[in-house]
Amino acid sequence: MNAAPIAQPGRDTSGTTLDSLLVPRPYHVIAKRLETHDVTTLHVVPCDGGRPPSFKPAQVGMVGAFGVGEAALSISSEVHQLSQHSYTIRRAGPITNALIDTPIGGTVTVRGPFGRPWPIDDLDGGSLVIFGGGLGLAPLRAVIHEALRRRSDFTDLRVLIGARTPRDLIFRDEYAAWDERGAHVAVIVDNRDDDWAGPIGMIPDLLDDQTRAEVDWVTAHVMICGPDPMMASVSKRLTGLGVETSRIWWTMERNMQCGNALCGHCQFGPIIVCRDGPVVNLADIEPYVGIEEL
Amino acid sequence: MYRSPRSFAAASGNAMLALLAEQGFEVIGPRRIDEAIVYAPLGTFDDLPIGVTDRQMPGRYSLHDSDRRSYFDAAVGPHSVKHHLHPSSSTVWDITRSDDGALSIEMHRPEPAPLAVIGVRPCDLVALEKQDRVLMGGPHINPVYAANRRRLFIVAVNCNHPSGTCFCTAMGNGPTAVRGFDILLTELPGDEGSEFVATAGTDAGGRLLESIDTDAATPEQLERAAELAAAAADEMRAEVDLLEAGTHLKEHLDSEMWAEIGERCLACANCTMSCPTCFCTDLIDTTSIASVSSRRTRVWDSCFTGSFSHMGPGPVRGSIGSRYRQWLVHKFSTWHDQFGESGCVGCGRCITWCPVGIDVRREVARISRSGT
Repeated sequence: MNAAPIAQPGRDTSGTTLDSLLVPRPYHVIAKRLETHDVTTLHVVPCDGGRPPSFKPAQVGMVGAFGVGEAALSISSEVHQLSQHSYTIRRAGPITNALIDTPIGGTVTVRGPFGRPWPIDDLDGGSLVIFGGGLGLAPLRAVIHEALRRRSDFTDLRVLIGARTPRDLIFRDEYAAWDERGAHVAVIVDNRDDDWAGPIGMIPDLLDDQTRAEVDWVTAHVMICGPDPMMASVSKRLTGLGVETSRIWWTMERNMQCGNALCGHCQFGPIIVCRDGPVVNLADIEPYVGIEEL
Repeated sequence: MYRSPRSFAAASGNAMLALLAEQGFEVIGPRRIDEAIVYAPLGTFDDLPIGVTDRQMPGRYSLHDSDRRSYFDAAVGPHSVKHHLHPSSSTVWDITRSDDGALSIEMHRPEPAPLAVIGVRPCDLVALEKQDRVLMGGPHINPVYAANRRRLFIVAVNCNHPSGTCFCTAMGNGPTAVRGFDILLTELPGDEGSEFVATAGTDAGGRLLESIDTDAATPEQLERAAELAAAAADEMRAEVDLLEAGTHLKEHLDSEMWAEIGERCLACANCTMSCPTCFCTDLIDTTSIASVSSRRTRVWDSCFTGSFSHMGPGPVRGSIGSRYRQWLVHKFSTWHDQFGESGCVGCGRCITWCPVGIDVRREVARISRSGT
């Protein structure tokens, strides 16, 4: 857990050089896309005319609204599309409201990218099963695109998506394209509305008889992002199917303030989420899962 | 540079302080102010709390005059070196917004004056090492702490009289210092006034000792220093190895004792403020009234506040018991996972300054022994 993180900036030892990941960089908002009633994607480019930095799937930017504060947000654009970065944001308070309300042409600040990514570079083939709950699909979008790009590396690719209602589904117009490019996409909602003809239930219900039989669970790698209880219930079903916890990864969300492992806010038991996450291996945190108010 | 211990009397101590001041150091040391021993500017050894002893118990602190005329009899007060290296408030950056909406960012570049701290206790030297690891040892560093650390000169002093809340030996430290100082003193009280045995820990400390009037320490003086250290260690009753016991706290997260402690704890955060290793900070953005400039400030935060674990739906740690559990388990147990060592040095400040007298020695011992 104390291994070196992916982003290794220059150490400030002289007192005169600045750690670039501690310095915010202004970005212009060039486009906005309304994903749902309360989720918006901002597309941003650096104001200095340079390119945004390269990143790995699930890495986080500290995105700031002038005078309000910063929010830790996974980059939701594709890793090979570096003309811009995208952040998919839900209205959850003053900072996210200010970011979403930034007009096109307006300026935000970004520090990063920070944190451990989905381990797609380290997988030894087999099947790849991805679970996204609600806004949890945003930190998964880059790895879904990366898995599609390397589709032949995996025997099977599943993207299992859930949301409270159909109107809470994000990136909904992309699902068909993902399916066409070789991912089995399945979608479920807790509560239907008038134009929903798909299944109703919780995400673990997508592990129906057919899916359970089709996927080779012994070779499966699983990536999950969503609320803690959703990740816990999906993981419980998977371990029941014989998936080792060391083959399951979560993205953790906690109160990340500095992104630099210096402010102490984003601890989860032994984990400092901004340093040791946001992607964590379930085997590393298993004893702490499900403990109230940890 | 002197490699072997020296000895000197208070007059040479005054010369040492004067030389540090001449070299541009701000010199601070323990002083009796508002009925507590706190770090404050120090001109001569006469400014030290001569003949003052302390009584410390869970939730209790008082100073008393004694008939001993010692300079360093009182143990640690509420302040530690942390207050001077990791200040309670510091600027991170200023951002200015121009008429066309463009943002220009100016990072704060700290350039502090050199600081010499006299009378740093062995527990606080260990605390400094722990803060170094957190704030300078990872992939990113806190620039304010790092700048303050570089300009620091330390004259440490071994403890002859631990307080009633000291437990450094149960955490594997003290009561004598082994490293982390420029100069280390042991006070030898005497009818004619105290003498000091002095050891240099760095070249800078050795040069300073060469510049003042000292003698080679005698075998008798060294023997007396060793006796005082042994007596101080004996004063701290270490029934439980709290360093070892503390590592097991993370195995007891479901214990009912957390809720029970939560009923006593006021979540006042005194423990985290007085703790010499607690490092958590909040980042606060404020804007000018015309909204053309914004400043980010780093201020001490505490895991006992509701906002500390804030998330979209509300705080992760709503109950006080869960906040106490976070603090104690982090300090004694998960700090090992995060930084490879314990986060506690056994200074006892959290016990003394807890208004309801919660004693971590007792809580760590009983929770780590409990059945869950």
